Amino acid sequence: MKFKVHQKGDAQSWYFEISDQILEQDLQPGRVLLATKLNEEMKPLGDVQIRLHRDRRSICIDNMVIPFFGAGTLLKGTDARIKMGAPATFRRIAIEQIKPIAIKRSSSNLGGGDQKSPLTGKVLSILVTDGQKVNEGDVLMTIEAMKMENRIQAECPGVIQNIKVQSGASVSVGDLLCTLIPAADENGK
Amino acid sequence: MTSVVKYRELVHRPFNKVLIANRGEIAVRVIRACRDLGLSPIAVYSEADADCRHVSMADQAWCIGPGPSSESYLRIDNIIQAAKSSGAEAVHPGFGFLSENADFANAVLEAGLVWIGPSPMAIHSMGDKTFAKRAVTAAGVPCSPGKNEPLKDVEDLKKVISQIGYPVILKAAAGGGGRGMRVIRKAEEIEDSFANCQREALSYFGNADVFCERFIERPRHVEIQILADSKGNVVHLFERDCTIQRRNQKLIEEAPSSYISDATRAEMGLVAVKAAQSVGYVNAGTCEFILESPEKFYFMEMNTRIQVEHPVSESITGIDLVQWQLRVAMGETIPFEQKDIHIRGWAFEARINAEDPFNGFRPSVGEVRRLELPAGPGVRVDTHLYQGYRIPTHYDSMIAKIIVHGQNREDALAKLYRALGETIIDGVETTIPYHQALIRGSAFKSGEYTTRFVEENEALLKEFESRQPELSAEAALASLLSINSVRRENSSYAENGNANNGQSTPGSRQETMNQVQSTSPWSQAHRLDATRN
Repeated sequence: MKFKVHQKGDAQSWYFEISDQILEQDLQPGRVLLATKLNEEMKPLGDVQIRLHRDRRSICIDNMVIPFFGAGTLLKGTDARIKMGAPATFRRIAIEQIKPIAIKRSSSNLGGGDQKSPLTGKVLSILVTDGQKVNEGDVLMTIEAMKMENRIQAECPGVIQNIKVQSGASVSVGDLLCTLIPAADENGK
Repeated sequence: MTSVVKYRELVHRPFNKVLIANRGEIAVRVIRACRDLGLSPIAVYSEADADCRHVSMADQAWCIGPGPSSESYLRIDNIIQAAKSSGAEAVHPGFGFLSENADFANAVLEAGLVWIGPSPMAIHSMGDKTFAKRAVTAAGVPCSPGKNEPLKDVEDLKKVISQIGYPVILKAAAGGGGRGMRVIRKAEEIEDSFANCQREALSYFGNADVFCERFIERPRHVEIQILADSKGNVVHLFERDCTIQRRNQKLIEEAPSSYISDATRAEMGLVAVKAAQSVGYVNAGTCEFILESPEKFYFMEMNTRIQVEHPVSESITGIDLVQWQLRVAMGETIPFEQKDIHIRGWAFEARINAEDPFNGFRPSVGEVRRLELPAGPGVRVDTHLYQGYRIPTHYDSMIAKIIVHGQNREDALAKLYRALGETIIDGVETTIPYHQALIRGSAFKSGEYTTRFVEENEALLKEFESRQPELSAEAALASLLSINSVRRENSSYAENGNANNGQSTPGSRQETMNQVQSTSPWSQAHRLDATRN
């Protein structure tokens, strides 16, 4: 599979080809693998050697030691946040597969839909009612966890339906709070 | 106060079994001090904390109730019962929970146990801000101009404002922790603010008394560590600068302070000793000051307990404060005098909280899937974390403290940056990236900032992220493989059935990957967001 890798703010992007086998098997610490570096026209520039160190803190690529720490965090779209470097700091990196499948525009990538609790805690207050129209960023409810008040905000304009919790209720991560019907869906887009 | 409580006097005698009426990081810290002195530590825990580190480090562990702290760590009766059943001879309160509760200290003494802290009367006196201000003013300690007595009514407030001028701040007499405070900048705000502040004071602290003092817009927060024994010896361990705060919660602390001169340092130390003596203070305590300028300081309050940031003072003075808390309670005399205590080098402490700094500091609970702590010259980590630990939702989000000690400020900052970069805490989001951005900022390096710094620099983290060095080809490939392995780790984690066994889902953002059903994870864009799973 071919990939484009890019750091936010950088002028340059990097291209690689990695066999599906490597991607599916995960890196075995201590084992040497090969990947191919490509140019912008997807022409091979040569092989690179990859070896994951047994302590999983660094990866050796053609004699360069690249420290990377921890799992990293996947963000929206192709974005990821990875802790790397020495000392390790967080970097924003976008990874795209070349020739991606076109994504259908639907409520699932517009935002909205089932609003699930992002944290475990107690519902402090519910600021919306069934059928209420909301704008992006409107506070829907507040949930208290670890002595802090957390605001649950609408991620797109739409209509609130199906409020599943009451104030004072305990909620866990992933519990359904309410449903947000995106405004774009209503218009039949 | 309408009812006059008869508080007991402190008792001092040697003991062996120490009950620690706390949890997590500070309980671990106290257990370590007990071990260093050959004492036997006894842990208490809530049902939610049965697997907490402090339990497995103690000699005995007693359950004191369900998860919510109001039903366990704040239950005086349950803790006293545990102390009696376990045969404890002394009680250490740690910080937070009941540590500044005079009734708890009194109950411990009433049960015939040694209280490791100041007398209930000293705790009570310093807990009432107006009383504390009157007591220390009488001892010659400078306080911010205002009225050191509860305000009778709005007219009373107007009269004080006419004397000291705008802006003023209203505070709850029984307050603390940054709650129940209001700033008044003009006459129209007086009546509303007064009524609201009284109402808040009553609902938060059960006491509607409020007082007012001049509000300092852009202060520094510097505090002096005090240590006093039962023989009347009081010394100070110099200052800690805790100016970097977010919503009145300290983020990073340092000792000494780069803001004050040696002369001010000596003067503040003297004043803090006087404040402690004015209430007959015994054991470790802290006088908090706000500074309007490098020379002009005002007493704010005294914390009658060990503080979160005590390790920075330990680092620069070489004095083990928690050990001395225990020894003072046993009746030992402090063997050193003020002239024997010197500042050696520079220390920082970064509080690591289980919060997501990229997402409004939202609490992040879950399981610590991988943990690697920093080490090496000048690095100390105080934490209760271990790999596989599930962070409970009921308590404070602080999960670790990284403390560094360097030869000077620059060296200590470099060591802190190095230590933060070595740390791996996977499974929950932490404030580590925020600390990295903070200490690499020019304001922090130069030491020019006020308590408003965090709120005035909201884009700090974003700017830091955009300043990263260019990505090399090797680093690009490494990040590609790293993200692929995240995807694999997550899917195997879910397959093992670990993701949903009743508790909260660890690393909820990463977990979302599992719901993207596809033969190849790269064949579509992943919509991932903390608010949607």
